[in-house]
Amino acid sequence: MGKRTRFSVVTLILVLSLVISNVKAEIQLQNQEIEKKIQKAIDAVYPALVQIYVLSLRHSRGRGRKFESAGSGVIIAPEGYVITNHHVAGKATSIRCILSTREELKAELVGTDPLSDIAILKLDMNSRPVGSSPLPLAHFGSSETLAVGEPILAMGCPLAISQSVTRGIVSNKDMIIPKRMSSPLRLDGENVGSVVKWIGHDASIFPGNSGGPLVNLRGEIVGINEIGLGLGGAIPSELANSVSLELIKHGRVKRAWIGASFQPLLKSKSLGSTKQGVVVSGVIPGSPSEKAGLEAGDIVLAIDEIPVQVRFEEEMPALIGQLLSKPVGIPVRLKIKRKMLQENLEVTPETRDKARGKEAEIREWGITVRRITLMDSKEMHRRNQKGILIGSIRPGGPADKSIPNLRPGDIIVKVNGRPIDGIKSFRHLTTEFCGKKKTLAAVVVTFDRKSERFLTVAEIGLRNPRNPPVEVTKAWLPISTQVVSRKLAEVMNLRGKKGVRITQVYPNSSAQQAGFRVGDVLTHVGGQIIEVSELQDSEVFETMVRAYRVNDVVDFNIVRNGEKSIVSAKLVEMPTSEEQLQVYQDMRLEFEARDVSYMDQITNQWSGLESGAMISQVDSGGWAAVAGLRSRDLIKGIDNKEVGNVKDLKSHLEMAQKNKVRNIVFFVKRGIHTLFIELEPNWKDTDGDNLVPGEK
Amino acid sequence: MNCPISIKKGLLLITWYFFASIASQADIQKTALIIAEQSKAVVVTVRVVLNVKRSMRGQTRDEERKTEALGTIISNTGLTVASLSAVDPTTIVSAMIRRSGNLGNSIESEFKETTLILDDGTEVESDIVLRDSDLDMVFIKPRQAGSTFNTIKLQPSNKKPQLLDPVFVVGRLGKIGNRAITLNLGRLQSLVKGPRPYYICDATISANVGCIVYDALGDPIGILLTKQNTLGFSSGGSNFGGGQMIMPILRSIKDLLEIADQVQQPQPRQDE
Repeated sequence: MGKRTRFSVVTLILVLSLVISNVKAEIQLQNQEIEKKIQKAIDAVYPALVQIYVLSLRHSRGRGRKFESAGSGVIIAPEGYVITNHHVAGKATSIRCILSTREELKAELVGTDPLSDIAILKLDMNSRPVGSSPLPLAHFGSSETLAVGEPILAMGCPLAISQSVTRGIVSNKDMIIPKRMSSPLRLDGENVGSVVKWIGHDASIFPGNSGGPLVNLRGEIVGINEIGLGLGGAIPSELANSVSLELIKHGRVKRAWIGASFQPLLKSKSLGSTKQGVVVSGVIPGSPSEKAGLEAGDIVLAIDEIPVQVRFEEEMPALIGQLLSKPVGIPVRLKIKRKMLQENLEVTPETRDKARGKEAEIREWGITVRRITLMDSKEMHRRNQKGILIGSIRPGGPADKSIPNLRPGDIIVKVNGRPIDGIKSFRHLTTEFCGKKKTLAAVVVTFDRKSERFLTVAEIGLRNPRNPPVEVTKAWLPISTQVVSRKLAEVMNLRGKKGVRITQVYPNSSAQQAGFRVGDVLTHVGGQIIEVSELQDSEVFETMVRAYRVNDVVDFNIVRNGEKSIVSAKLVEMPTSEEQLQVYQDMRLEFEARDVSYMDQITNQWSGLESGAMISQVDSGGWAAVAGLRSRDLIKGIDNKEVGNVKDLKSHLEMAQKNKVRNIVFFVKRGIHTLFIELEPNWKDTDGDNLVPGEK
Repeated sequence: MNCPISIKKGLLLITWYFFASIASQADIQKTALIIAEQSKAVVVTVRVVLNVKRSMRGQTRDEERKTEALGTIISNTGLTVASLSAVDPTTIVSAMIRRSGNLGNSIESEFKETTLILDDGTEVESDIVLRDSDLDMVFIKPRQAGSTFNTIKLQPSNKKPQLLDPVFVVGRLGKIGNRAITLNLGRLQSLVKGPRPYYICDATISANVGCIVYDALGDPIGILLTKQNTLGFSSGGSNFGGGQMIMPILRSIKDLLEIADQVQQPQPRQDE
């Protein structure tokens, strides 16, 4: 190779190296720029992230059961408004928010919209210490200007862990749930996909991310994370922002309704040849569309002079959104094509009702009910929306036990001849009939089941604590025993003998005084053989003792260390059994308690002086269960006041309810441990009037 | 041919015994008819509506059940005694479940409504006031104080009836028989000794649980109740002592009065 050639090659190599290193430096610089932008975006929104813990109600089997869940949200206004999903907090009965600074605040549900799956909470700003710094805020950006491939950040509190960030890109701006692949996403009867075209992205999201923001690199909210369909799906910010403004202002979203359903243009020409418009698939009887003359099969070409084109499902949400946002009462001009002719119609929208009313538990009946919405009444061919619809029935409850029994789907129209308009009037009548009665009230119920009208009689009311008949006082020997099985008898050198072995002698008792010891085998009671040899015979010995009278002195044949002898013991009065103790039933907090029994003292090896109220039952899904109270917990105190027995317990809890205290603190003994358990009941819920504005 | 004197005597004896027993039967019948007339007002029907809660493998179901059983009014306040297991059959099922050790299942009952149906058809609202699961007694008291009822006069007796003594019971048919009075004649078949001895009667008598049994002279000697077999399934024996879970027995008047006495003295209870 000549000198010139060598020089050229070396120069080329040098130049290439320079270019490559420049490119590398450029890429590194770009990456650093992106990292800076990401960090800036995180800094802009992360402080405003909120971890949301919700106690919600789930209605089934005639009860509203509470359950805990967690989600995410972001603060969007200085007054403390937080945006999240309806499916996170829309049925909340109690909300707790933890800010990024770990500050914990209670929150209230301001308004919720199942159709867009958006809910707005308001933090309890009054509970913040004086001088607290202003809340960090996040701001909406535009989801319209997003580009596929654009980097985004998904922020939230997945899996109930604290504020977290994941990174991805925009994968799809027109994400819908494919009809043929899956059933629509329904929340409280609303088809969310009818108005929402999700922003699909590949940032990792997990359960708990719901309600958290999707953020662009300018630090703006471009979506609210909602679903996972392989890809994450976020509600576009345009929709989220407009819904949140309405919820903050009015507590609900007012939408228009014309009573027509639509579908994309058909491939066939059976409805006429057209490349423009949308097909009217149906018209609800009695709706504004029917009144205007719209018919199934019409093709709507323009709405208020704006041309319409829906050839694909992805184009449907925009059309639906457009119609829903029309002002109520102002005619909408439709240009339609019917067969080969074009026509102009005017449809005057009415206010859109919810798809499904909020469910409420009516304990006295053992049912959950909801009001009849406009669509309910149409689908059930009813003339009006009067009455209430039974959502679920508690098995064995008053409604279930009526003959004929009430069933889910039945509509109660009258009680004792008095008409029912909605839930409020139903509650009012229920309170009137039940009052403070200690017994159940028999009422005549008029109800509709499909097209038939029935009558039944239901005995409604809150069940009183069990008042069992008194049991006769019985003779008792204060010991516990086990059956001496045949095998046990063999190993104890008692082959062929029958009897029971003492497992415990109760302290400070007549049995202890008589000289019984653990390990003694009793073979006879009053000269009668104790005929036991199987586990099923475990009650025989006690039954034999009970045949005697209190204070009888009875001879017991025993075998102790191989030696036979007779022990005489005085039989004493059997202590009051647990079943005989009066039970305190708290219907508000949903648990039962009783006084401490003698056997509680023995089983727990208490000194005999232990006092308190023993929890005998905790209803699942109730306030007590959610707070962590358990059966066999011993309540020793409430809010620093001593609880000596159920009478004290009742008195303290009634006072708490009267004063509607925010927190009730139980001091509880659980085994050898003690702990404080805090209940935070929503008294409105326990009183049953927790309806959102607009509900009857 | 001359019969030996001993054969003659024997024939006379047999003849006398034959006619004496017929006369004895006639006496008992007469006595029983008198007692039936006197005591028909105290033999009543106890109707109960129970709330039964059954729990099986974690699933709980409430239902209502109605039962009717016979009872006897034992005081002029209307205090009535009946067989607990006849009034509330779930006590038997509950005991069986307990003994089987199957802790996943349970059955509980609560008295919802109790009514006494008197001889003239009058229905009296009542309450269950005391029960003894071991002796199978349940005591029912009319709700409305102040009313006076026909009653049977019971007192403990020192008589010790013998096996095969003839006895009779005044009972009552159910609704299907218009609640007519019944009379059954039988004999004492067995005496079971112990702290609370009891008799076993023959089957014709034993069907009338809740009713008083009288001796040939018309004196009350006991009340028909039932006894549960507390042994698993391991017991043997003939007749009633076999693998049965429950058998009718005759409890003494003394036991009945002893327990009834506790109704008059309410047990101390822990109230709210």
